[in-house]
Amino acid sequence: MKTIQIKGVSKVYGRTKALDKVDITIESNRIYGLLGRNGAGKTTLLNLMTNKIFPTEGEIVIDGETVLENDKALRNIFYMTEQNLYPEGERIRNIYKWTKEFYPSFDMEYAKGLSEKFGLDTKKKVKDLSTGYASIFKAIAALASNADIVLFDEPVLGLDANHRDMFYRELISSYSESPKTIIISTHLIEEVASVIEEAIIIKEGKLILKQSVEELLSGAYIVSGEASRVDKYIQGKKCVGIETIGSFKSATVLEAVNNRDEALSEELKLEFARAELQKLFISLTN
Amino acid sequence: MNNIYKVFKYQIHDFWQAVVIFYSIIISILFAITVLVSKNTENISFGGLEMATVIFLLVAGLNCFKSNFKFMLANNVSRKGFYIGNTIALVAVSAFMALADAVLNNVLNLNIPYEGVVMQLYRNNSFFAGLLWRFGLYILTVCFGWFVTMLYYRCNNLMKIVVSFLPVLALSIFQQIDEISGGLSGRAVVGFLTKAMGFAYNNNVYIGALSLITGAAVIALICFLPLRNAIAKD
Repeated sequence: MKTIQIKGVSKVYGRTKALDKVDITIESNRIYGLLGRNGAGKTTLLNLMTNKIFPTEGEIVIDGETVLENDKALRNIFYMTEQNLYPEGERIRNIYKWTKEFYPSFDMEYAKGLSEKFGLDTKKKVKDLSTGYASIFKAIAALASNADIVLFDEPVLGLDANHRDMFYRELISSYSESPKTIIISTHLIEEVASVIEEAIIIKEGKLILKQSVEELLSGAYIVSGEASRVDKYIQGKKCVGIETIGSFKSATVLEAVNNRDEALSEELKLEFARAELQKLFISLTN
Repeated sequence: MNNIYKVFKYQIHDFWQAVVIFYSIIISILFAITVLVSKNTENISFGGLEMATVIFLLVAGLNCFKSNFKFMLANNVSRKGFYIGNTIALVAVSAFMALADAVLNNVLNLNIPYEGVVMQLYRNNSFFAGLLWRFGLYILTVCFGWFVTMLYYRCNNLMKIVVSFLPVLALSIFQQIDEISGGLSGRAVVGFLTKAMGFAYNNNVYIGALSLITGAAVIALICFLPLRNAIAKD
């Protein structure tokens, strides 16, 4: 069990409060999506969780051990940073070798296999990688680390659609084979919606939501059909993501469907669909 | 403890290639000199091998931090772990190079008119004394390089300029004070150095070595101050 407890953590940079008294408990063996708009404090939180930076107040503990300058707690976490922290002149295969030194459970064969699958030449030096391949290399190191807690900060930055799909598949496959705590910070919400089990949403440094994706989506739905009928249906309801194409309209209603709604939709010949995480995210963070 | 050993191993791996190249060049040059010059050649003497090592170690010290620190952060190593691992690696490299230079010094002594820096300064030919003194000099140099790079790493652009001009400013102020005091402060500094380096005590190499090692220890301790709150920077 590797439970992360973030207790009243704040981080101030000069006059900017990047995080404001954040309290989160991250249970083990679940996939979390850390979501927030640009500058919301996602990377700051991940950096604090891995001792890359220091909190202004509060503390972060893993199974009761503080992460602050604590090698014992830190060795349970692997953090794929968006920023490159690897030596520019070092070859990828050498970095894998050294990563295994620091993470003895690092699966070298799996890393080599993934590199081949993604078309990553491990003889290349870090400085010679494109943005996409730099992300692939860091993501492979994270996936192969076999750490109990794996954090990804923008893991698909610069990746094409095929590689993004491959990454999500590998992530799920790796998680199914050996369950671990995974936190993915990304802006591509629709893409990770099917991967994450729980969403953590941060807005302007404050935690505004931590809920299972299933619960979150069951509390909203999309209604669509002829525009004037949709308008009639959504009257008095809290809606987001209203889209009109010609005479067709759709809207995300932020409440669960009840019997009266179902009857009304039948009468108006409207259709219901599952809500989209991205639309909910937009409504929550706007 | 585990991480300290891994940091040490990585730092040594990082130094190793450069050390091998350095000694390949030095030994090639010395071999050529040995072939060309005979032991009994008059009016020619050689020395100063240690200066090449000092320059090498200063550069090594300047390069031992930024990239390696970031890599250790990527592997979730604590700053404390990096500091201890790096310090041990610097001690090991300095000790190895001191030993290599002491051996080279003795080998050269047998073949060409060569005088190492310890012999030149102290007129002392003891292998152990020379080894210890060289180790002191090398560890002080490499720690100084580390300190300079740490200082620049933590400074913003304005502070980098201030830090760069500070030694020049300090020297100018010292010269003014020395002039005003009629050379008193200059003599005090020379007196201190003469005692610290053991020249005032019958050319005692061990006092000199102890002072150099103490200086290195102080610098290494000071290095921890900017490191303990350091974050990854481009």
